[in-house]
Amino acid sequence: MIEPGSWRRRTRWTRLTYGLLAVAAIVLLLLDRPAARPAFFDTLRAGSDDLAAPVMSGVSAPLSGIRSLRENLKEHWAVHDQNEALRARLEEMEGWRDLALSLRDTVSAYEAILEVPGVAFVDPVVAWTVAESGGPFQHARLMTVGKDKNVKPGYPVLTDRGLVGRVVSVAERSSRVLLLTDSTSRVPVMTEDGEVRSVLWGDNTNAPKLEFASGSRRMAEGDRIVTSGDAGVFPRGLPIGVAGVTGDELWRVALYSDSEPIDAVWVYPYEPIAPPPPEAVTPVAPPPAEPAADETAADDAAGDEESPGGADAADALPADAAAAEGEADGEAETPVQQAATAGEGQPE
Amino acid sequence: MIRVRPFEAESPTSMAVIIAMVTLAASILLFAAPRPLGPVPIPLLPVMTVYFWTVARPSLMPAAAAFFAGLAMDLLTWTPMGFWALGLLAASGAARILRPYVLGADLWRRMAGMAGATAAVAVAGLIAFGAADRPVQATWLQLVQLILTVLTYPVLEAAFFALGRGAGLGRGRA
Repeated sequence: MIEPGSWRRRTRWTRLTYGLLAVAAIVLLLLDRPAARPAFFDTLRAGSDDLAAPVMSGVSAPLSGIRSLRENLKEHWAVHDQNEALRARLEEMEGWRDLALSLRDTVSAYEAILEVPGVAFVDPVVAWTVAESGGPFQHARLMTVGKDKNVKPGYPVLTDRGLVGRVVSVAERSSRVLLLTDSTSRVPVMTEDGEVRSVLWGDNTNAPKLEFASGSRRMAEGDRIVTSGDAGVFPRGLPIGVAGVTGDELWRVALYSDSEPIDAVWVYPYEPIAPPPPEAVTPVAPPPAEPAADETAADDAAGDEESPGGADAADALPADAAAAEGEADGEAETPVQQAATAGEGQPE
Repeated sequence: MIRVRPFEAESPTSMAVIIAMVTLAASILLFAAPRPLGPVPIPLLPVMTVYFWTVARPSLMPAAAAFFAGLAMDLLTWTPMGFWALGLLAASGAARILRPYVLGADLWRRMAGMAGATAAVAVAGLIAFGAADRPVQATWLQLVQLILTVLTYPVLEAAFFALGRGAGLGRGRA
């Protein structure tokens, strides 16, 4: 049986406890003001998060399952609408397909009439690639084919989506592919209509930069980028990606080949156009002296003929790289050629 | 008519304490767990748990337990330190005051008692926000949360009674 005095003491003690704890809570609240929060509180919270994280993830797993179920149901309900949209899209695409087939036939006929030489591709070599870690490049892959399949340095490597890179070194049964994204990769490119030419400049990001753009119009968002064939690095017209401006206000290319893992690839044997030997070049007589204004125009015209990349490219090219390439080859190169070959085989 | 009365005094105390503390910890974790469905109002499970055990047997849920459970909630939910400590302390205090009126009472009076404890928590929350120098942002979501707490209390109460009976704490209801 509880004594009346004991009950009163207990009640008094309980009230005192509540009062003290309430004061402690308010003191904590006063200390935890945004203006002057002790760092200790954040440390304590971070520690408690670490401790509770495994339990929390277990507790929230059923809720995540419910969310997945809800999203699945939403998708299920949207299937009908998606189906309708896809049907409409398909009908539209069928029209485009017919047009494309018609244009392909027309172009083939024109090429046959004009005897336009196509790209001299022979049978491609199929290979598996694996990521390389520890090689001389940051973005390179190793292929399971080499000299045994007549693979040579410079051969373009493609997936079914587009260009991946080029072969830079070949062993007996393996070879190394330098990806377009590597910081040492430079590829002369152009828009699909051929009106804007540029250099695809790898910088170890997933979307290489477009440098030294020049041409009869400006680059536009969504322009499809293909190889230009300049400098003989690659054959003309290999699909690369889509141009766009990124957050750093640089033109970059979203690579077609980046949309899926690079596993199986095709290596296309390709021999670049060999320049004529020096003795076969007929000396050209210097032009007659003309007024200064005409001289400037003539120089511009000559520059355009020599360099598809334009004078901007030459100006922007690092002087030492241009000089080094000139020395190595023993002959003058266009700016695009210089940019395309600069840094090849020179890891960062 | 179901009427509530406390578990019998001869119940094994250590088991009772373990069950009370485990249910409190579970309710805190459930309340503080990430909510993948977004800001959906859910009942104040820890408040309901503190209220239930304080009414059922105050010795199982001392004020200090409510206070430290609140601190744990503050840590896990990143609310200002002391916010939920004060809130659960208010729920515990309200339960002690209301205990004589709701013990053995019918469902409506028990729910009214829970509403009183929830109101005490809301008032404590307003005081806490004032002390922590935070702007009070009462939204309809919070109002719905308080109403949900009162409406779902009978479910939690029934579950806890079943748990107590299963653990041999006594009949718990008559």
